[in-house]
Amino acid sequence: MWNEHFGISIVEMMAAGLITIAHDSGGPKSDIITPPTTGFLATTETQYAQAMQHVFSMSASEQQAIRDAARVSMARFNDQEFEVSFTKAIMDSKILE
Amino acid sequence: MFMFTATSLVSDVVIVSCFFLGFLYLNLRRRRHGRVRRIAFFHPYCSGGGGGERVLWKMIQVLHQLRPDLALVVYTIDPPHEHYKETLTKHVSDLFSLHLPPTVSFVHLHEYAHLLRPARRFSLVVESWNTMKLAHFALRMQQQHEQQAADIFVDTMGAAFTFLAATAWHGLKSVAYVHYPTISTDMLRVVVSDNNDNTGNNKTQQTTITTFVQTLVAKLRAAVKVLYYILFAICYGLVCGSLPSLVLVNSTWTRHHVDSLWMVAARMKRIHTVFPPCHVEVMHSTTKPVVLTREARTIVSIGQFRPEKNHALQLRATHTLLELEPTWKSTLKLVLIGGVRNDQDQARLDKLQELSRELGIEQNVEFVMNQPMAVLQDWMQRGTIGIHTVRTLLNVNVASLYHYVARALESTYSYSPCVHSRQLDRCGMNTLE
Repeated sequence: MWNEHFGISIVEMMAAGLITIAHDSGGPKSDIITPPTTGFLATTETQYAQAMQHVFSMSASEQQAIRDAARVSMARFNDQEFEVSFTKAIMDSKILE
Repeated sequence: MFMFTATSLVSDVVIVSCFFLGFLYLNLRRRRHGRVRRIAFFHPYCSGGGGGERVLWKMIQVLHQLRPDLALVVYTIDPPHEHYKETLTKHVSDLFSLHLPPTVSFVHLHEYAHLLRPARRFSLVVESWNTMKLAHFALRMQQQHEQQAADIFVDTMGAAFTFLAATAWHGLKSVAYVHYPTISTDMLRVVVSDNNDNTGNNKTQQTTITTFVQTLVAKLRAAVKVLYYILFAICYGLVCGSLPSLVLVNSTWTRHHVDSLWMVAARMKRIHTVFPPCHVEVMHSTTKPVVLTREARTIVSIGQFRPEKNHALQLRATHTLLELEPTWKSTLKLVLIGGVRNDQDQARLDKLQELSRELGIEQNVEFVMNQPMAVLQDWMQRGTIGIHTVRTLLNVNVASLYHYVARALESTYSYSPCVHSRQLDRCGMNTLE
């Protein structure tokens, strides 16, 4: 009941500079990864294997481009963004008044 | 005997639902007014170290910044001890780099720990009922101890039935932070497994009186099961979903499901997407280059050794990759980093190690267990690829739920008496194991 399904560890991996291949469902698909710019999505073992093969075959600069894009993109999920959107939701709902 | 339990449980639910609807009407009329002074957080496992706990502590921190005079009370299952707050403050600071405000206090629910145990039967109803009771006891206990009730009740664990206690019974405003629309998982899994069962058992058709009676019993049981689903869906979707004044969801995906399940909240525009606060900063500092000396072909996987993490898929994918690129055998490495918390985790880990041997990739796989954050960060810096295989299983909304119920009915009526005693037993199973 209290598992988180958003994929916090994916965000952390991407922020740390890993080129991430995540499952093509849920939060990773809807919000976190935009393939092929910031990472990759896969479902079957063959798709995962092909994605890994693709990444390892890239040049260093191609890999770096994905890392940089992912890192910029992950800023959407940092503490400040949470503070802003949470505060806005609280204020809009006028629940504290 | 079993039928009796099932029917009586369902009728209990009907009575209780009607009772609550009445109360809801009366209570909503006498909602508390005036300035909010106390906020209660329902998060019994608050001392955990997962993403859900980070959301809780960050929320508390933000609320404290907004209104430093607010009393923030956390309902925890942990037993009290002299240095509880100090220990937890340190834990939250070490693990999440968050500061616990001085206005935080705790209500300890350790005496009611049994209410959080997984139910063996009808877990949907039983566990929901139990969390509702737990929330009620918590609110009552707080009122007794502090001589003052909370003004707002926040559930950060996805226990939607707690709103029946907090809002319908105690008349508080409530707020939900939804990580996952849990209702659908259990239901679909049961229906799917039932359908699988059916396919293997339809062959023998006998026409004796005994089997006729068995069929009749099976039909009745199936009817009860369907009724159970529908009632639960109504309670969760229409009743619980209409109670919170504010619903926060963690992703667009969850939002999509909550929008269709909690129609009242959606229509009243009470749902907001608020991404969880991820600990992005600690993972990299802006001065440090992201590329260090990354090891040629290292794949990093992070996650507890739990079934839903689907580590086996990672091993198989690595095996497939080596079939595609046999020359990488000497340089490819998959590093599985995770926590092993109990015997079941250990058993799963043993199985994974066995699988890696079966696949002939044991030299390419490294297991890193229960290591501190620094080791994890070190691997994140060294690896090239991050792999994550958790599947978000279901795409169910109310419409498709009824579709599944209809399919369950259909398959049930295609005659298979021996199957259904098992079906009912499985009605509420909600673990993935």
